[in-house]
Amino acid sequence: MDFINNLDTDTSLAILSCLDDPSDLVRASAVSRSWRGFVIKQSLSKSLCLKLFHQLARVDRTLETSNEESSGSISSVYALEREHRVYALLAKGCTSSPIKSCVDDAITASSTDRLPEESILNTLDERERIGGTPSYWSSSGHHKTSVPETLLYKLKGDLCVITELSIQPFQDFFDPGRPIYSSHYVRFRFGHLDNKSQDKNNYVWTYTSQQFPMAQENRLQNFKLPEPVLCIGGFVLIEFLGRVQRCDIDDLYYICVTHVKAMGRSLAKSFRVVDPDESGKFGLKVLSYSDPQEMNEKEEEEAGPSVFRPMRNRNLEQLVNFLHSHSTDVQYVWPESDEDDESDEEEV
Amino acid sequence: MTKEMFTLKSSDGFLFVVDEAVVHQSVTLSPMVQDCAGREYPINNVTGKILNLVVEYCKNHVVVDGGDSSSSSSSGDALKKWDDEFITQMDLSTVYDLIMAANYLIIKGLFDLACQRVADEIAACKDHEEIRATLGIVSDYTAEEEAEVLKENEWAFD
Repeated sequence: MDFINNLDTDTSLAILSCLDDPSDLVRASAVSRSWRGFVIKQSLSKSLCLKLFHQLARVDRTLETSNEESSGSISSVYALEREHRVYALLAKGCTSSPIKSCVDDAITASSTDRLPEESILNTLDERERIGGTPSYWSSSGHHKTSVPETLLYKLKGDLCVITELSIQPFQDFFDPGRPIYSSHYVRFRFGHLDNKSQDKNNYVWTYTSQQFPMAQENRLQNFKLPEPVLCIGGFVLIEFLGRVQRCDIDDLYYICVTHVKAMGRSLAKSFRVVDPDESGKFGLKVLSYSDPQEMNEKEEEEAGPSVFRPMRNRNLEQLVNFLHSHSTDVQYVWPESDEDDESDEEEV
Repeated sequence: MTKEMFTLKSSDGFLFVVDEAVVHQSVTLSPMVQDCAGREYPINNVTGKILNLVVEYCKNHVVVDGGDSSSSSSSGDALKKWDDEFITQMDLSTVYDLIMAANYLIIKGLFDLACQRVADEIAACKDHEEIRATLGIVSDYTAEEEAEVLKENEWAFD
């Protein structure tokens, strides 16, 4: 039966709202004019996206690169059609792009004991040692265990669906006690830069996870989010709550981390987020309608060695310091221009 | 303790005698418990064939729902299995009739189950042509219109 034409709207809506795969909705829109009209008019693609990721409630407009931003009312047929295309693509990208590492760069740590040797940059590298030198970030020390620390990272692109984060605390083998400088708990926040603020370092956190207990064990510990979270804006803040390990030398409590990883699906090739307007809501802009799954698989082949990808956009002093502390291990060729990802990088 | 029994009459004259627990599963029928014991209650837009299925569903859901609502997972699983078998063995035409009956009688569980069956049928189709064939829909697209729709969301049509 052609139920779209024979049953009432609510019933047809009840049936089509059961579809969880965005491809099914798109196929449904190809069945007939009335089916397509129904899917578009009832904003089914958008509803599916909101069902999967309620963080999308912060998005209030859609844009395509081929068009100017529409100032017309959202109820116009054209706007609804565009919305349908954009959300269908978003749903597909959010559910089927390959899951990979999504951390692009380290931004800042709340404190660092010794720079550059114990910089947050070290956490981007999964190796515990580089050459003979341990690679880790260390906070500064405190007498009180309650003083928290944070690490701030940039993700790949404005939109990432994060499924799991992993952290390896640092174990100091030079200390006979072999202390492990984990924290009691860890918590994650996702968000974006606060454009309204004068201070360029202000962020708005739109998602805060539960507190995950952290084990005092030297291994990569996985913290799986209860459900995948869409990070709008591309920033993740890792909060370390409660210090557990005191350093014998100075009797202060530290938190030290060897490696940080965030696994998920990056939609950087397909979407960009347009800055929030006065109401604080974002625009969602499509960069390409190519299959997000295929685009991301292709990107894997083009990428260079993972150790060096975070080295883009580094300021020169930090770069020189980084090289100085790891100089026995690595050869690095500074690219002529830093326009693209694929610079002439070499590893011994 | 004797239970109160109620008689439901389908549009084509079939009678179904059911107890109060079955009647209460329908929001539409629930109020009749006050007045209709012993009398026939006509359900004018549901045939005997469909009403039979509705009653079967409700009877099966009383047995398990009668206990506390957080029943053990094994009985929950058994009920789910029953629901799956119940709805899958029907042809689509019957499922549509069941949707309309459950909608009229306001039996949420049955309505959701039947709608999900239709959605599953759509999801199982590999393309829009198969959806048309399965549901018996005639397309009103011209060849050009259809080509344009397919192009628009190419990624869904591999």
